[in-house]
Amino acid sequence: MLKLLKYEWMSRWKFFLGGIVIAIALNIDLIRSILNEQTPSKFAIFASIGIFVMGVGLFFDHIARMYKSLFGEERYLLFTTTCSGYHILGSKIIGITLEAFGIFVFAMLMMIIDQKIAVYKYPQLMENFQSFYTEGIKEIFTLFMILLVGYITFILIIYLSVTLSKSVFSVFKYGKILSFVCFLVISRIVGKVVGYFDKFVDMHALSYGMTSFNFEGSMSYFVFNLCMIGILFMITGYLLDRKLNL
Amino acid sequence: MEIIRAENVTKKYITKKALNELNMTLEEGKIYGLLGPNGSGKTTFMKMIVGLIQPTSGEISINEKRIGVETKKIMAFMPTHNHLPKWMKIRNCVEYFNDFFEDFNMEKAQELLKFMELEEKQKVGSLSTGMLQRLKLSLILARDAKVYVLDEPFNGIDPISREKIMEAVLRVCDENKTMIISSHLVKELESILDEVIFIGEGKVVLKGSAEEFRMEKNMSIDELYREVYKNA
Repeated sequence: MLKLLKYEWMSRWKFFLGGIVIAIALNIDLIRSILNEQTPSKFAIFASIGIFVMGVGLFFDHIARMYKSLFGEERYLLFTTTCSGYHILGSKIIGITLEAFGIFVFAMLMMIIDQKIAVYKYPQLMENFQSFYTEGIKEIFTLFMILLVGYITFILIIYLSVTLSKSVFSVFKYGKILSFVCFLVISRIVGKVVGYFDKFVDMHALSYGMTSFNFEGSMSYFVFNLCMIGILFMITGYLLDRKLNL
Repeated sequence: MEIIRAENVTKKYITKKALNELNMTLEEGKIYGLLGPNGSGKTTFMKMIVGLIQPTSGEISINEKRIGVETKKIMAFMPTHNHLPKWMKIRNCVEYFNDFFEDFNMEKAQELLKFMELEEKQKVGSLSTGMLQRLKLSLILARDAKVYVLDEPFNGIDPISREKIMEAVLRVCDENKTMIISSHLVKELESILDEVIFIGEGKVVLKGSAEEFRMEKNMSIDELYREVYKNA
């Protein structure tokens, strides 16, 4: 599974490196502006747009990974290896999870470094950040985990739909349309159930210094998504393993 | 010894049957030529035995096992089109095969690449059709698989590359390895074939020893091919 991951990342290292370089450059520029009490430079604006575009690109790349594996030229290589469908799917999901963790850790590190630098100029920042190191990180991490499981559920629904179009619906002329309909139906069902948890997890209340964050509710949401991930993973893995028609 | 058995295998699409109640047994240690015009079902059958397509009905067993991860370990498949990622260099392709196939032999791969006049630093995306076919074949033949499945290995390549491919195929053949080669360039292929299987409309039309056909019918396999498919 890790070997598959290795090749997924080998083909994308330039993209990730580019993202890291732009983010660091942007951060340096922003810190310089703050310390010199200047407005952000043009570079900061362009770099921010660049980071946003790369983020959107990464999101579409996550979606397209399964599509490429099933519809791209390389499908015959991947599916004639001795990896099972579960391994192939697992490597993609682990890859996405690790990338999300990487971005989270990177962003947190940037934030902490920025704070350490900025505190020399604005000592009062330290007072506000005292609670950040105790409660703040824990809450941000919880929020991150909630978003992550929701994101992976969403990605798995897409992967299941794409897999359906190359397995159960592959013999039908409008197989792709059918699988898209499946995507809409599954998303709607999951969305309805997730809606139930909305009353517990009030995303608007999640801001720094949050007081109304409901950990009990978010835990139910988290567990529900984990169950969905398990179910979607098993179905998609089985289809990839036993029902593919490439 | 029997290595592949297909029983009443059918692959049905909405409007047509790619394979229609196909029955076939293939033995170990032979080079099989899977012959037939376009759309006869050769590629469908090949994809099926390597686990890329599922039959609508019927059963296929490889080495008495149902197709799956275990059978993939002993099957080496070379598709017609490029299946290697374009961003990879030849070196990366070799590493990839080494990572995923236990039976891959690095030394043999280096040897074959040298024989095929390919350099490790070349990028897959920059290779010509002939070079790509040679690379694909080098990677496949560097495996110590039990069954090699080559789908149209001579497609779009020049006569010199063809000769190299034939030579490379003959180099790896022994009594434990089975080779299944599909092609409609029968003339080029016939000299290396032990057995020929003619497929038409998803069924086996004729199957037997290439040598016996030549003796019995007093014609080359190429002539026999034209005879069999004269109405196709």
